[in-house]
Amino acid sequence: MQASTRLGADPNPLVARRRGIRSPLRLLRRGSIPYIFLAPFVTLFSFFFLIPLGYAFRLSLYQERMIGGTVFVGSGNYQQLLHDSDFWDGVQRVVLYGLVVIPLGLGLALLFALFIDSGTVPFAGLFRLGFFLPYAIPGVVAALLWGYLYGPAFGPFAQAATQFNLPQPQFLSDSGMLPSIGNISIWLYTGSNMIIFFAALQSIPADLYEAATMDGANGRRIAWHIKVPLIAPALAMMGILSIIGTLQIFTEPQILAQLAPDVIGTHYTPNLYAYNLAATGQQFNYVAAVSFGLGAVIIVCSSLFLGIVNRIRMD
Amino acid sequence: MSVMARFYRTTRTTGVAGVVAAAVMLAPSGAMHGNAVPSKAPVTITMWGWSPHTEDLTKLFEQTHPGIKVNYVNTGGGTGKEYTKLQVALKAGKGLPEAVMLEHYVLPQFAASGSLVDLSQYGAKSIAKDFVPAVWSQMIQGSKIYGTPLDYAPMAFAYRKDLFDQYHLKVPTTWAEYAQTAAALHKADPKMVLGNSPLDEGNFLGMLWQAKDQAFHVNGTTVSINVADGTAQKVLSFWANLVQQHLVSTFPAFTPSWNSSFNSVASWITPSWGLVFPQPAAAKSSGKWRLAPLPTWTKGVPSSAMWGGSAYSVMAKSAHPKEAAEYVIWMNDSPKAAALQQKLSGAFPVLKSFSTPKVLGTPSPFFGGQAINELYYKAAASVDPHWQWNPFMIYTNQEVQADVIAAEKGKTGVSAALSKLQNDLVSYAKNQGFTVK
Repeated sequence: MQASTRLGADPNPLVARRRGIRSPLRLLRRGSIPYIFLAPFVTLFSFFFLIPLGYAFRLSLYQERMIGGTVFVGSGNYQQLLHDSDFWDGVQRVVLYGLVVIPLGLGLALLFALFIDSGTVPFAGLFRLGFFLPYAIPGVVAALLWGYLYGPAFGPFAQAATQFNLPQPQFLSDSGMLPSIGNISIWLYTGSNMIIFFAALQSIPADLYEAATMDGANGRRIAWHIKVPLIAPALAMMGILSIIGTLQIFTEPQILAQLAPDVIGTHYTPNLYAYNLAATGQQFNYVAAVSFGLGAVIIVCSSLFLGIVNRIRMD
Repeated sequence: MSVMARFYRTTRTTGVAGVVAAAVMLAPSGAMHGNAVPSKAPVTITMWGWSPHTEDLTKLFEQTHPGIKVNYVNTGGGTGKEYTKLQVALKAGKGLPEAVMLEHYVLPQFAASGSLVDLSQYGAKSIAKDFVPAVWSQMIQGSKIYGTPLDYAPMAFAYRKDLFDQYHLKVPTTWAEYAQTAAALHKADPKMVLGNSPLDEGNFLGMLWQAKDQAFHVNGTTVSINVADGTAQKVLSFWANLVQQHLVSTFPAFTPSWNSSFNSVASWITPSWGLVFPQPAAAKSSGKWRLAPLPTWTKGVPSSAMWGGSAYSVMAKSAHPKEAAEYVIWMNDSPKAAALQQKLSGAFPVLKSFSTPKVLGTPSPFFGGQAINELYYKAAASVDPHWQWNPFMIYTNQEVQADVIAAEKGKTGVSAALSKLQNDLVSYAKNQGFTVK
């Protein structure tokens, strides 16, 4: 027997070359391999996530004044946030907006994915590309584009209405603004959601369809009872991402504010509020508090959604 | 010591020795020749602004001031975000210009934070008499002078003479008459309105100024805020009534729909720079407009206010405050500069010496040959010189717009909106460390 049987010796011949003596350096190197693999991620995570988050939190505990410099106020900014009607106004608006736009958008995406997957649509590839193309357009460009289309003076809809003596469309009015923004959002993102659902549908084994057809199910029943439940994880994931994205909506109100500044004030959405506080108010400390406030709202909404999803899965 | 440190030490010493040697060599040569050519390198200052023709005026300055070179950067204006770049540079503490163009209403804000140089130490006191009180009062806080006026913008009332004649309308001299005229016009032609609400154009505070309401008072770090009193409610209710009866339009200023609205209004409350916008947009009605004094709250008592106007200031962290002060004083006070400015733009002159009948009497084709600058000059005399802006106008303007427009559209009550504005401004002032009286 070559391997030493002395107490504490590592029987692995590759490690304990020298009989009976453990090399601390080698053990250290072997034990540290996981950390070496983790290091790039942890470094990037720290520098681009943890450290800025920590700095923002520290910022939110102070107040920089025009007279008197920087002052520690502890929870002062957060107390101000709790009573800030502008912030809660914006939160209410995006939550109500999300309750309408997210189901609508995801529902449309699901519908399109099911249609294209059903095999009954000619030129399915063309439709897939067509629905996806708006996603390739940057958000700012899309908002500018639609802003022009909505325009009350030069927009084509307004001009057509004048031509045919119809009442002017009120896209950028108080009541029309949220649906207009919703339209831009749905136009932009339905395509990419559809592609994700379509990919999920591809992973369903085809023999399930054969079995269902043999049992007498038509296309619609297959879709509702087989396809949709099997891509439920994809639906849930896109649901969460949509909630997080929608509650942070910024680009569309920011661009449209230039066309209708009286409708979109400074606090139309919480993110826009934070931006204006920073850009014109220079209140960076309060902005940090507002950002954490918005983050808290998003966590609450996402948790609620996940809770509902889990309840449905239990049933 | 490491190799690198040793390297830097030697280069630094050589560098210093080099400069000393150069100075020793150059200085006597200047003294020996004893001529007027400066022997030191020209001082370069940076100027941030957006006024048209600044490049031409700056070139003239450089020709007449050989020791100073000016690097002019056009930072763009009219977007409302002109000062973001400056505020960011101030916060960073670097990248600041020596001289900067600031509108009248932000001078107190930058002065309060100690970012501007008091020009009285560079001889600015002597130029006070060259300007009318209305505009000079905007440059000063007590005995400190924070800028030299580039221009000023008294307001007047522009109206379509042809429409007024067509519908037998009287030119209003009071706001009550304005309301009556608005109703009469809308009855005669439902597609036309008398004007665009100045509140939507961001001019609510200007209207308070015209009503001789002292909304703000600043004294060092003490401010008093008074935007919810009877006069403010009167002004806001007046415009809210007109808007809700659809007698005036509500286009926000500087938007495409506002530009095209000049063809569907019969009048406009216009500042002296006002021609820039309606002239291209309302080209079809050029020649049919006339100018009259602003309607007032008390019959027979003329009153105007100013909308806009800019100044040139020197930043406190400037490396060359003396040269920068020389620049800002020359650009706005020198007769040579004013003459060139008149030649290039024919704008409403800021110097009293240039406000001669000959210059002011230039007929304006858009206004059917009327000498509009004479009227603006007379209006300037009725501008209340006691009006002050508060030291956080950028924030204030934003809040005013939000609250006032909501009341104008009827979404909130007039006194509720003004109370909210008052509370918001007071708490902001307190948060910023000001004492609020």
